[in-house]
Amino acid sequence: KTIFKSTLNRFHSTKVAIIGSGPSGFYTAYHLLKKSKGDLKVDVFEKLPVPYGLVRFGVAPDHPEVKNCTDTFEEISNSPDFSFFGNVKIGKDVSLKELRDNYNCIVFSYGCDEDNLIGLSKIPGIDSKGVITARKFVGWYNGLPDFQDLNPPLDQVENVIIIGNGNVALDVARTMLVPIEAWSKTDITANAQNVLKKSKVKNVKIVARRGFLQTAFTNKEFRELLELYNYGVGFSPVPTEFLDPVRPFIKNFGRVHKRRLELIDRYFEAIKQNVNFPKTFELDYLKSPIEVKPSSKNPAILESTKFQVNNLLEDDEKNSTKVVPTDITITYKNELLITSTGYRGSALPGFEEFGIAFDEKRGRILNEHGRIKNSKNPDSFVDGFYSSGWISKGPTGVIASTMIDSFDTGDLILEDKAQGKFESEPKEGAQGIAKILQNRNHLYVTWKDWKKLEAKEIQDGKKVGKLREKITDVDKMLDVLRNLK
Amino acid sequence: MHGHLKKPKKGEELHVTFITKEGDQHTYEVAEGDSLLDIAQANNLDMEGACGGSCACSTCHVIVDPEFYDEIPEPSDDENDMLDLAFGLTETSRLGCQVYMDKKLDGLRVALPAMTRNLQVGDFNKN
Ligand SMILES: Cc1cc2nc3c(=O)[nH]c(=O)nc-3n(C[C@H](O)[C@H](O)[C@H](O)COP(=O)(O)OP(=O)(O)OC[C@H]3O[C@@H](n4cnc5c(N)ncnc54)[C@H](O)[C@@H]3O)c2cc1C
Ligand code: FES
Repeated sequence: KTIFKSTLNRFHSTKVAIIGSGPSGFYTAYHLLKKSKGDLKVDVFEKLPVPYGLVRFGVAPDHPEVKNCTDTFEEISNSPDFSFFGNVKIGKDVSLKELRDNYNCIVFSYGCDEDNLIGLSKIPGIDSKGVITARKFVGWYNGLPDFQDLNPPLDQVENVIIIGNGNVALDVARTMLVPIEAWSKTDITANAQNVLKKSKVKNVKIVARRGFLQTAFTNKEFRELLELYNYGVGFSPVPTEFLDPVRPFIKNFGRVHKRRLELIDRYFEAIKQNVNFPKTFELDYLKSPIEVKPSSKNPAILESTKFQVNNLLEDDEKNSTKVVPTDITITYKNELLITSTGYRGSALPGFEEFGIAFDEKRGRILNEHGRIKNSKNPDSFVDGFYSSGWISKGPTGVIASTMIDSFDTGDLILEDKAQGKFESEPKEGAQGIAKILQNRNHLYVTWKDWKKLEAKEIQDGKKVGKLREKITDVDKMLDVLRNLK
Repeated sequence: MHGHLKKPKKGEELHVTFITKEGDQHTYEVAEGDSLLDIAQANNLDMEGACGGSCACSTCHVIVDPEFYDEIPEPSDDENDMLDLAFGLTETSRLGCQVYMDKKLDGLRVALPAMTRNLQVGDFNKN
């Protein structure tokens, strides 16, 4: 299918810079190129030498189908009106001001790459080596360059506690529980494969602050975990104290929770036939960690984690719930604690200068459907700046919802363009930025370069029967490119 | 990639109508075994199919005319898992990549959901 119209007038076209090459960046680019009249050029800037954000570094290696969205992104790269600048961090390698000087319109699609620790950072012992954030763990097994030295001590761990109740928590649990063969054909890193091979993990307990009805994971992820009973991973019953109180209200549940409860009952019935599982996972609710105790013999691991038991107060009128701590505490033995309490975004250098409002509390850009609020005057917007994806809506939502959000932002931009908001002086776009980078002697990665890197990854993968063998080091990526030039 | 359909044999053409989110109706003659995703993409309708038809994204969501809904084999667990996440889910929602044309479905009518907040949130207008 041909979706791109040829450019009518390259020079006078509207130049759009998109910061970030994850799904939001690419779907925004896709929508703009598909719906514009060929009078628009889109350049995507990515801080890493490789594209696709969390599709590459977040989505689990055993979910290759989810990554098929890159077929569409690939298609965009064929447009003559698209360029890619990899290894260019906006706010560091190129300033926001320099970008603004060269483009009519800038879209922030740079995702959320910090940990959202909520209250956890104050807990005694949380700095222990045996505590790892899920974001780092996921980045580690997916080859994110920053976390390649993480090497979690799985060879010394039998009991893992995961704090959190979203899909990321379940991804981490599954990663530690599936048989090692599950990875042999995927794109998990060779390093992670080796560590997982030596893993002694037997029990994974997933602990939530709130109750069963507040769980945030999807049934797809949940069922994958339940299905593991076929591979010797049992599922401890959810204690009746958590489920019984909600059962009478099942009629009022939405579809998702109805199915969730039904899944628990159905799979538990199947699992009951066999009680001797070599590995198990369990769901636990209404507990918040209050103290982490490192092992006195081995600083790499923990001895236990202490939790406070919570009560849930329901407010039917406001349709909300409130967690109230009780005096009761409970201590679980665990050698590793993974905190999976979410991601958060951060502001880029230069936001103040342009009056771009950032919500420090929620870690996202303050915006209305992708139009960015002015920090000096919250009733007005900052012209020429837009946002999409996780940095815009906050760090929740699957690729499909990120896509819809990005299409909406694209529509806004096209609307504003139609109203003549970008008709200022012509901008240089990619050429202007290329000049800046060349003057700085900064090596940037073009789409063609990326395809060379990718070809090498796929080729290296083939040798060992894997989908690809990711290069996990930025210098190594750049070296490969230098040697090919 | 999608977009290639086999031509139906003479006399065995099946009919399917798509109603776009703008309300336009398009009827196609298709062959047994074609998925709704393949049909939509071959005809350049707005259906993303982000996961390439592998039941992993929910961007091929369609709303089936209730008259035909029960004629389609029940959704699998996998499809139900993804329908959980579909935008604007209805009682007769299905995933286009999981529904295959057969004789019973001749004359099928499906609507494409509005995949945008703009139409859902009424606080600003598109035009
Ligand atoms: C562990 C995990 C598993 C997931 N699994 C699934 C799944 O199975 N199915 C599903 O549908 N969804 C899944 N998701 C959700 C999905 O990944 C997100 O919806 C989506 O990636 C959000 O896209 P984004 O573009 O907003 O952010 P990102 O994907 O994070 O992309 C942001 C990009 O911006 C770049 N960037 C950051 N700062 C700068 C800068 N200063 N200059 C230039 N570039 C910069 C980053 O390097 C990154 O490439 C998962 C998420 C996580 C965290
Ligand atoms: S195309 Fe992805 S679920 Fe149908």
